[in-house]
Amino acid sequence: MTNISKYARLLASLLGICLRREPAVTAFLLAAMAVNAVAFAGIGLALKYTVDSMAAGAAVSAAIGGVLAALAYAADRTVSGAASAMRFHVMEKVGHIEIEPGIMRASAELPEIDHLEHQEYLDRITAIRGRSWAIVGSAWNAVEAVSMGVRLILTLLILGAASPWLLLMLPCVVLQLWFDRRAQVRLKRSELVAARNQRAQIHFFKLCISGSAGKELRVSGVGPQLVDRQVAAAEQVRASRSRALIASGCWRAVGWTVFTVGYASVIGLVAVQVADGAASVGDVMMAVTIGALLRGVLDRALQSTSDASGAARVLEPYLWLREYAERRGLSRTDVPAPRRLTDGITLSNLTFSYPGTDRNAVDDLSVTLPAGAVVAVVGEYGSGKTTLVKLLAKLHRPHSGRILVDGDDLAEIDTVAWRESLSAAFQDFGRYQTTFAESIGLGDLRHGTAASLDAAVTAADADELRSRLPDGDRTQLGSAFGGIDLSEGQWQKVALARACMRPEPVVLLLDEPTASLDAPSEQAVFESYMDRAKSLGRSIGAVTVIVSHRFSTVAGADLILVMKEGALIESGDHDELMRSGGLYKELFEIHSASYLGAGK
Amino acid sequence: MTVFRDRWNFLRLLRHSDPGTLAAIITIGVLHAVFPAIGAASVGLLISGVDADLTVPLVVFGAVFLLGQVSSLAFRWAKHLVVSGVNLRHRAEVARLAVGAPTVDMIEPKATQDLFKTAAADPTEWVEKTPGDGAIGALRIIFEYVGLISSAIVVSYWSFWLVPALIIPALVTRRLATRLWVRHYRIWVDGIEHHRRYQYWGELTASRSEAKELRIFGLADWIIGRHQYDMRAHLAPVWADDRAMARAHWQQFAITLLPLGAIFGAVGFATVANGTDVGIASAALAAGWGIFTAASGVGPMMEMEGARPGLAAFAALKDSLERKSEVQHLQPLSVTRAPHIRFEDVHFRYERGASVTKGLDLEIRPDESLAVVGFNGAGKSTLIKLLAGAYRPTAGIVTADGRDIGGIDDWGSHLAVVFQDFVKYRLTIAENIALGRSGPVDEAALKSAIAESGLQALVDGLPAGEDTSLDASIDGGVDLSGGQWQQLALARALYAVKSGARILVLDEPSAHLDVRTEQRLFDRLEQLTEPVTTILVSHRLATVRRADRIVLIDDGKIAEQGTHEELMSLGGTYARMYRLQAERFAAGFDDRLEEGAIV
Repeated sequence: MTNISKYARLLASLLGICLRREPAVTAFLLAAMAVNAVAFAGIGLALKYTVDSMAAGAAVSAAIGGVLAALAYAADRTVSGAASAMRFHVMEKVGHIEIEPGIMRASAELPEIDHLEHQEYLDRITAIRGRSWAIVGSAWNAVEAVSMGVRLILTLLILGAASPWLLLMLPCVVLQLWFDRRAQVRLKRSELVAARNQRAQIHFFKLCISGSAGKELRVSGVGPQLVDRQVAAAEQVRASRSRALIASGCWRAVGWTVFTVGYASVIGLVAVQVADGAASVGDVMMAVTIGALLRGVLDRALQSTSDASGAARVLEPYLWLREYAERRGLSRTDVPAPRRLTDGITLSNLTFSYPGTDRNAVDDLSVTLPAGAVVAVVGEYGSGKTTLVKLLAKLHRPHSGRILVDGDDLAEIDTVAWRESLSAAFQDFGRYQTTFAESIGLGDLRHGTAASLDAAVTAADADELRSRLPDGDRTQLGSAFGGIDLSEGQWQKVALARACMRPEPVVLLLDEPTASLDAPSEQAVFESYMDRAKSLGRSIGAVTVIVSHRFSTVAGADLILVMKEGALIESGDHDELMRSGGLYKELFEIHSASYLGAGK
Repeated sequence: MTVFRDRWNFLRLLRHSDPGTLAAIITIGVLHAVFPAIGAASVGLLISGVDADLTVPLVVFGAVFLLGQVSSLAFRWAKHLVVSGVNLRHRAEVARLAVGAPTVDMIEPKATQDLFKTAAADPTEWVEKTPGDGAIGALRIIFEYVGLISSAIVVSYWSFWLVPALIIPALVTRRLATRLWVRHYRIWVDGIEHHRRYQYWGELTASRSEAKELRIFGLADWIIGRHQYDMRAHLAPVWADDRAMARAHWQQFAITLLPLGAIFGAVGFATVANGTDVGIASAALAAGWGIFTAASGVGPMMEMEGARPGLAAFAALKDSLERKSEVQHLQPLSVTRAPHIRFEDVHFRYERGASVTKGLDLEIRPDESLAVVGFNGAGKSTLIKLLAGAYRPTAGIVTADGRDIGGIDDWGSHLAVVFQDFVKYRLTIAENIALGRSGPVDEAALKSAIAESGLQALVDGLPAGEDTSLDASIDGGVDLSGGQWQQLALARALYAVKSGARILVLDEPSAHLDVRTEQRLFDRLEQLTEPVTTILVSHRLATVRRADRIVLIDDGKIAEQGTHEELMSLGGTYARMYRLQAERFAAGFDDRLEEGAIV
């Protein structure tokens, strides 16, 4: 299917949605466009009639013509005023209610998170998120472009009927359009340069007013220098826009000169015909009026066609995202997730790499995580620990190899059901700008209760934090909406509590969940988590996977996986690994040396 | 009268423009405003002359039309210069106000930050306008009156009594339209909190940090529900008002049609009845409509309305910051070696907050290496901010060689600080380092700062070397990893040391470094040739063992101090913390790197 017909179908369906959602307003808008076109032509005709009647000495006709001209003026202006307000109304309403949720789903309901690494996806979602009104608006721009075309044709018909010579204005109009296009290209080019300086200007301004940067600025004494840099960047923006306005203004001025020459000549021609008796004085008045108004029509026709062609900027990403979501979207299966594990989880030849990298983040990994086990994963930066955790949560699709859950292929298990049987805490957790209770309650939207909230808060060692909240559980968190700002460690406790909301997860994923906590807090959290992991392991065979640098936790795990550059290089319990003398032993010894070594 | 004072306040902003720009906008604006009237007159000339030689009227008509178009293009240009010029000075003044506040706690409070953001005049919503917009709005209203009067003059050629009959309804429709729009504006602004919230919920659906939890906990529907709730809370009243506004257009229609219809009809009738010139009548018809269009725009009113909050915020900031920053008699501290620093019974509390520092006594001897440790929230960072002069004690005193640091003019120049949240300038590597100190760039110091911070290998690997931009959004720009940025911040501090700072403060300098890099960092610091006092804040106790002296801060006071061995044998909080931490692997912090930005 060609792009044009794809866009046309999209625009038609958008108008269909407008008509369904807001039938009265949509009908009004369409009617207003028709009224406007008629009123517009009416202005010229009525003035012609008035002037002709005056010249002919018909007083009553002249009066009637005057009243009609006033009616046409008033109608044109009032209707277009009301219509532009209502047009925005319908764009906003349909956009926010009908289109925006779809855009949000196109990201939130993708089963995996690979799209967040995908620049093509990110560019498109930033282009349209929150701009659904512009998507609906593009449909209305297309309608407007059509209505402007009709208006133009109507105008030309009236002019042509009065005198075919008047149609000579048309080529002038076209030339003027061409010059205008050149001017727009020039303006757009300057915007690219200006945008960079504009960003720099905002960057320096933000540093100047920021409290955290403020400490450093006061020590180094470079604050005034930053203000100068801000001003310099703003001067650049100003100068480049000014140059662009002059250049584009010159193009436009040339265009208008051509138009004016044509306009005046045509009027001259008509006037000559008046002398010959082939035209009336009213025709001159009409040519003058409509010619001048024609420029307004042209302006708007230009605007709406350039808007309509610019609409590709929002329509293309929208269609792209819709197709992406259809292709990559969630497909439900009827293989249920297990409520308990009997054998465990087997990874066989599991391989995964991030798009745009040539190295495998997880490389041909095979291991069995026995039911009921606490499994620790260790390794240095970039060894693939987090990726392994994400693969278990089905947040990425393995490139090859399989994950078997009690013998069932995880790829076949229904993703929603599988996620409902997990719980997880990550090092890069969410900071939800909502109340304390809701922030934690998100961990179990379906079954969460007040009692499970209490237990979760305790398990995350967040009781003290909770007791200090000014409005209790209803305290708004985060500074975005005037709530209290938590420290890194306090946010982490909220995330940890969230991960404790689900009562019986068969898999518990903990990816460095305590990186921001103090040692005592960390110890308290780990103790309660381990108790829970062990008891869930006994009762439902739950598997707990922990990525951690905490030696005592790792040492106490039933199984330790040592990863390096994506590969599993050692596994076993603490004693086995210490005996085998590999990387685990080396990491352990670096650690011991820095703490237990002989002083300086 | 208040209306005039209000407009005058906007017009006064034009003083930020240079005289040339101001002359241009006024000349062009007036010309632009009178062209519709002149155009109407030239139409009259044309119609009257139809029977005679038309050359002159036609040339005049064409010239007037063209000049009208050109003046409108020129007006756009002049308007840009005025608006951007006023905004530029305004933002610079806001920034200067912030930078000029002597201590950071004056600009840090949420309320002050909100004022700064409002005063920034960087519109993201249609209701927000800049001071430049407001100034041009006030000016445009004057031009509208010029247009109105000039059209009225043309109309009065036909008959003077038409003038009030046109002007009064024209002004009434403008007033009605403005009232409706201002009401609409206020309804929209009233719900701005909901607006921000639904935008937040919208962003959350494609946010990186929430993506994993969003899927595991199945939050999509919940978030979309919240988006729709807040969206309706904001827009339902706006939408109701949209309809009311559309309906109210009937009034404008009536007020336009009745006088205009009566006058146009009368002009038509009377011209014939009195046998006056058709040309003058035509000019009157054209100019009559011109009066209505001249005074119809609500744009200027909305520009002023939208600019008000930003200007008010600026005034409030100016009032509060300038009042607090009373000028003191400051003297420089003329020493070239590290001074002797004392904290004497220092207390500090945030405005409306709990005390963070509660009677802290600490002596920092020249050239010693001191480590500061403590739990989260114990007051370590506050101590550094007090030392840096970013905060001033609420009670007690911090002295250097016996003088209050608050009274030392050049205190900053004695310090080189790597703050935990150091600044990441979107500039080149060299500029990032040289911003460690104001004044001309010292190339030699720059080179050795790069070498001693361990950045050399990175710099050598970049195509443009130290002149590589760290703004990844431009061509040839790169982004650094967390650890690389931290080394850059260290280089910036070392640059300050090379330029004469003798107190080196490192606040968690290795939070983003792995254990091996960290070891190398501390080895390098020990080899610094300059005699400096080093103050190291860290929560990794393995790294502080090397210090000459360790102080443990607990609950805003010094709880323990001594060497590592002394503190371990004391068996107090330090010893307990150390044993807890010794159980941790020190292999590194996270493996976020595998996804994130590396050069």
